[in-house]
Amino acid sequence: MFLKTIKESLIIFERNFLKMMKTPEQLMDTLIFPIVFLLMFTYIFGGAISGSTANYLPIVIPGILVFCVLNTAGASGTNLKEDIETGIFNRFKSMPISRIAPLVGALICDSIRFVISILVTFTLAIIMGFWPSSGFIGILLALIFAVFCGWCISWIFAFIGLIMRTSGSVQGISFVIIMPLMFISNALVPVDTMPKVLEIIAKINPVTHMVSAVKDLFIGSIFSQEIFISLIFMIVVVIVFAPLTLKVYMKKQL
Amino acid sequence: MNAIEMKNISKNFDGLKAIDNLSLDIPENSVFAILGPNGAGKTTVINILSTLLKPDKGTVKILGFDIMKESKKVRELIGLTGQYACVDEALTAKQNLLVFGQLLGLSRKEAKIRGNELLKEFNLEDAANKPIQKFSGGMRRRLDLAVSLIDRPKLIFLDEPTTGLDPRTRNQMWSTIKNLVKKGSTVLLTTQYLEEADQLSDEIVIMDKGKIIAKGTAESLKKEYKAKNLDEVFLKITGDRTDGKNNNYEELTIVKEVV
Ligand SMILES: Nc1ncnc2c1ncn2[C@@H]1O[C@H](COP(=O)(O)OP(=O)(O)OP(=O)(O)O)[C@@H](O)[C@H]1O
Ligand SMILES: [Mg+2]
Repeated sequence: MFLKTIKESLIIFERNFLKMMKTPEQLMDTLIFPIVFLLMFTYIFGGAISGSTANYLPIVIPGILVFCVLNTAGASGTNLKEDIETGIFNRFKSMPISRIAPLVGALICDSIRFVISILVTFTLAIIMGFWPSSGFIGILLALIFAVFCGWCISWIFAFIGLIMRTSGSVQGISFVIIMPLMFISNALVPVDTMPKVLEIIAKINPVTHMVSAVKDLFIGSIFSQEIFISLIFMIVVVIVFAPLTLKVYMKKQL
Repeated sequence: MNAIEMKNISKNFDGLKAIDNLSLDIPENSVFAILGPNGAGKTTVINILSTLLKPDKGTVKILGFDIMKESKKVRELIGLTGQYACVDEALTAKQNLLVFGQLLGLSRKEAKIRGNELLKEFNLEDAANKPIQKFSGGMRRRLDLAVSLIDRPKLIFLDEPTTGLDPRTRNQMWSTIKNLVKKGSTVLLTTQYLEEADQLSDEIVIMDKGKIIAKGTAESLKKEYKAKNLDEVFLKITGDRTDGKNNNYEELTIVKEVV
């Protein structure tokens, strides 16, 4: 029973993967924002914020990686909804397969999406002259951390994808959630120059903790408090949203 | 044994009675047609029978299995071609057949072989490696049907299988359906073309507003309503409603002329 579910999930993963490869523009769409932000903030505002472009890179790149993660997670919710809108889930549902397999297959494929988008963004960062002091291990850990966060957060957007009416509204909502989280955090600018209220919000914002965690990994402090806080937060997200998503998914007439 | 036994099925959508206390038996190894105007509840019936939708009330047995309690078993026995094509747009015909074949428990190799068989049977060989996005409506429809036939289901649901097809493709679809029955399957189809119901089916029900308003063979219905053809029967029963259905009649006359 369990094995059968895994097998079916993998078949559907293969389908999603083929689909992703055939529509690279979808992946590009999720990357455009982070890349534009990276270039714009570095070369236009970087000097003003940190004195020079080179000084700004270590501040902005962890932020952009987290942005990239959030954006890709948001897109995975939109993709899920688009997929449901095509009616293909109806076919899955009328077949003698595990009900959960299509969702699991989609989530496995999302992990690959995260790996690709993070690698692309990070490569660009290196081209721009960024090289973290932690060396290779630190980079690897930071990237794995980012992929893990993305996977956890994609449960939130999968949930949104299931409850919204159209894929367009999923996209809209994701944007409305992600943008304030990004700007009221330390992702693009240091928080201590913000007005008091915003600074407090920014310090509570989980995005700030994730960005700090990535920064810590880039300077080689693997046992930082920020990493611990972020991981706790991610686990809470999964504990809350995975059952919720599964419940809505199993109940809903897709 | 009956292929389908529906008893007192009701389904409401936010207060609207889509299906209203419907009971219906469909014998095995036959073609059964559900006719009805837009919004009659045809798709809702098909969705309930194919376990996509839970009825609010009533019971359904498919080949002896309860759709609620034994839904898994039911899904092994049925094939569904929905009103709107459910194939993967980005994938090719071959890839679609491979994915669904494997999901139905075939090995990769078996799924490939079966896929090729079906591509041949449905005249899709030339387009086998084209993404579905580039398919014409008729090809899409045929691939959709091919996918539902991978594991040779005993009971096949076809929701408006020929809507939007040109007369030649429609004729092809008809002979495919006749073949399925010859091989021992039961087919339940919905249609807005009376001609189609007349041509294909052993028995017809006419639905409107969630209820069955007439039932019988094409011949018996014509006799009962003193009509020359099913068009007249349909008009007499459903009344002169003009919510877009006229289009279908026009199309139908054209089809008749061409065929
Ligand atoms: N998911 C849904 N939510 C709300 N109402 C629905 C839903 N599905 C169907 N309905 C309503 O139920 C009624 C029956 O719809 P159904 O799709 O079964 O009709 P149909 O006979 O298949 O029509 P058509 O010929 O247009 O395909 C319609 O009035 C429709 O608006
Ligand atoms: Mg319908």
